[in-house]
Amino acid sequence: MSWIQSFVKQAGLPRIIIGLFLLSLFVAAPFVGVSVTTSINDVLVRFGMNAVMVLAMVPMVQSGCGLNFGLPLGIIAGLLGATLSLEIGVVGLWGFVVAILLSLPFSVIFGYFYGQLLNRVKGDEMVIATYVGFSSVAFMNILWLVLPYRNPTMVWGFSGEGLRTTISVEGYWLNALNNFLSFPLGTHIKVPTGMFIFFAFMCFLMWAFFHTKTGTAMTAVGSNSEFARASGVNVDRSRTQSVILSTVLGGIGILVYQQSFGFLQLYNGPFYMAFPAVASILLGGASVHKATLLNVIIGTILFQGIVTMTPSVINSAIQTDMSEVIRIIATNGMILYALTRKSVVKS
Amino acid sequence: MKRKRLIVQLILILALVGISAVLFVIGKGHQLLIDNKRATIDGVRVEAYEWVNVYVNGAKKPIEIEEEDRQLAKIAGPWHHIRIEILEDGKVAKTLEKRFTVGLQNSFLLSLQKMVEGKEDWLTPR
Amino acid sequence: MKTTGKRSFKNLLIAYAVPIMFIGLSIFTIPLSGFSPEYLVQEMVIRLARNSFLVLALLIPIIAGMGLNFGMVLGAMAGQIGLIFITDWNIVGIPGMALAMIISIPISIFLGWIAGNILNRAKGREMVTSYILGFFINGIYQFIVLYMMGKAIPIGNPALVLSRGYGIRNAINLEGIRQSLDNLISLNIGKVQIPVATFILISAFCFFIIWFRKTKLGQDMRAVGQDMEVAEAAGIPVNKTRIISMIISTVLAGFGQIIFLQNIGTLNTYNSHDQTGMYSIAALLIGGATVSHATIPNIFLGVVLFHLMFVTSPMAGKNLIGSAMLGEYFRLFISYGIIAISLVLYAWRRHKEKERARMNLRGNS
Repeated sequence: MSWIQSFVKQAGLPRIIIGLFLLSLFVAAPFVGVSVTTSINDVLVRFGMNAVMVLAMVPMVQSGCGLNFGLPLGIIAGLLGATLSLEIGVVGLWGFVVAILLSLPFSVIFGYFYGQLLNRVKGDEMVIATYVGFSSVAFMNILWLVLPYRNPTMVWGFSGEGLRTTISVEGYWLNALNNFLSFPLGTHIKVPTGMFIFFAFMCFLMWAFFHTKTGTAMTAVGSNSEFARASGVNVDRSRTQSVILSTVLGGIGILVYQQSFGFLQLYNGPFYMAFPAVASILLGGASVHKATLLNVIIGTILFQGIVTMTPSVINSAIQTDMSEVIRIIATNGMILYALTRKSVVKS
Repeated sequence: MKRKRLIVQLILILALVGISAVLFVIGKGHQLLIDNKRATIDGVRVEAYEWVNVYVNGAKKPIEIEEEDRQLAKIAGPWHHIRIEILEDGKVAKTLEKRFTVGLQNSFLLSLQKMVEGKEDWLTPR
Repeated sequence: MKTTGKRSFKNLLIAYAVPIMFIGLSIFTIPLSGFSPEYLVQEMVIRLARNSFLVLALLIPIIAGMGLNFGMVLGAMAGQIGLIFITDWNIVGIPGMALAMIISIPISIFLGWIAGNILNRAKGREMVTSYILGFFINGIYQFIVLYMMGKAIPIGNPALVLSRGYGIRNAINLEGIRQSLDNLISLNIGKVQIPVATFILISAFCFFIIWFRKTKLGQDMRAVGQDMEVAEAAGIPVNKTRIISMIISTVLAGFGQIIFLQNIGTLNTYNSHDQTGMYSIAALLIGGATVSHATIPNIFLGVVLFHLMFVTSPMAGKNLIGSAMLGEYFRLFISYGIIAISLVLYAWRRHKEKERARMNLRGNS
């Protein structure tokens, strides 16, 4: 029995319970008339859409800055890149690449200042990050309204100025990644290969980065900042780097998300986008102080699986649409669980 | 010591429940439907009045009810007071005052004709 | 603590930097908005009556060192459940309000107890935890109100229930208790109407808090707020004290929400509580409070300044740039921004103190 115990200990009880729950949903699905293959397709696509944003959590957790509730800041940088690329009018995969490139200067600059800020509030990063995210979204609301965009598909028709709340990327780079090398699997599944390759590439970069000197220093800062300081690491610089990295990934993540979703969601759109990402990585087994790539992958699959499957199975079983409520309870329950773990409480 | 605290807490909770019950009764809102309609009382036909002014619970402005009409008054709690003025040719022909209590039902029907005739069932829950 | 006059003036300026900033802002927006002074005074009186009680609910957790209670939305939800029931039963007027409050009490106590226990497991990150807890309980609230009510929980009044047969409608008309407290004793000064009874209730609870701070429990709370370990060593049951502070805060928030909604007159079942926490916290911070220190004057100053900005900025935005939307967004930005800035300033100050303490330690050794 000891291997069971060690497995439970390694994987963590909540993950096993949720994994089994997800499995049982898949088993139950055909009995209530939900197609398993369609569900698998949904989970695959949603995984691809969200994975990079979940990945954006890793650098900050590793450097000890906690969960990046300030993800909207990176998302805004991504949206700036996206709107600019639409304004220029590059289409196809190149349009997507241009969007990423254009988002980079913004996310680096935002991330730098955000990192400087977080260095001054050590120990309170998370609540401040939340409100930095919120206030930047609110501030951007004003800017979206007054920035001089001209592309008629983006601005309000009647006044000719101010961006619309949702902007379709159709005709620009809708599904640019999804359709890249994608192939059908059976009748209902279409594998979004491009997104997976892209995500794998990002993971590889992340993995490689954490094996460079800068990357190991970052991990050292996260696990014991006093010790890192003593061995000559510039703690604040390392933390700033991690925040910049998180913000950049947030920007790229939203672009991946929206090329598949089909719309740019401006104004209040990014408000609560940090929460699913935070919940995902926690569900994957990360703590407030430690996160791995495996946490990202498992967490995203589990979380997206739950939020896709629970509503569709329950809706079909009891003829009621409860998806929103389930999403709220699952997301925040997971974050709450991670925040209150006894082992986590330190300093 | 501990038992004493328990008793105090129990009394407090009971008091709160008691207060709630009182609030429920005195705050219960009712609809009072007031009819000025022709009625047959003990086999005798009583015609609707030309015009009636109804003052519920000392209201300054009356509810005006024409012939064959029904009006709604919102009242709250069990104890009420009603004063009616029956008008003929624009002059007050008759006034009548009455106190009454109502139960916890949501709406009540008041027949002015039965009230004037002094019948028991002038006010019925509906 | 002897300081020169100049120094203490500077300190005062620093302590009241946020309110002073907002007074400065209002000096711009008031003339730009074009509202008459009478209108503004009336509006401020209404909003003081409407919001002060909610802000009051934040005070006790701050004393207990638990920071800004973002979880006050829990109380708001409890209050709303009370309102749903009295509307269903058609209990009107002051008795209706009182009954709603009584119904909210056990729910608030239960939620406050949960919140207290959870926050005890998340010491040092109470604020972010209480914030997430608010979201979590919101999910459960929606589950109960949207799916249980009318099914497992009997709701008799069909006007409250969605056409599908269960779940409460989006908007509930609270005409039975609308402004029943505000109009109980109403006084006119000039053209300005003052809801005296509401203010009496608010001041009663101000006195309650002043009295409470002097009690044994209040003193314990302050000790816990200053240093949990020292308090523990002194024999104060730290965890229990913290739970009690959360319970009191949640109960008061429930009352506050009921007072707030009796003034508004309509309950938006799924949205009314959403902004309660944020606006109350923003108001308190604008009044010059910090995460660790808040006084009763902070409340009233904050409510007035916050709502002055709130009322005037859309019109000011419209008159200045021709877009009311801009003003809307501006006030949203200010609400979030002010919370962010206050939190940053507080954390920064604490961080610096910690650093100084460490330097001293190093110097000594």
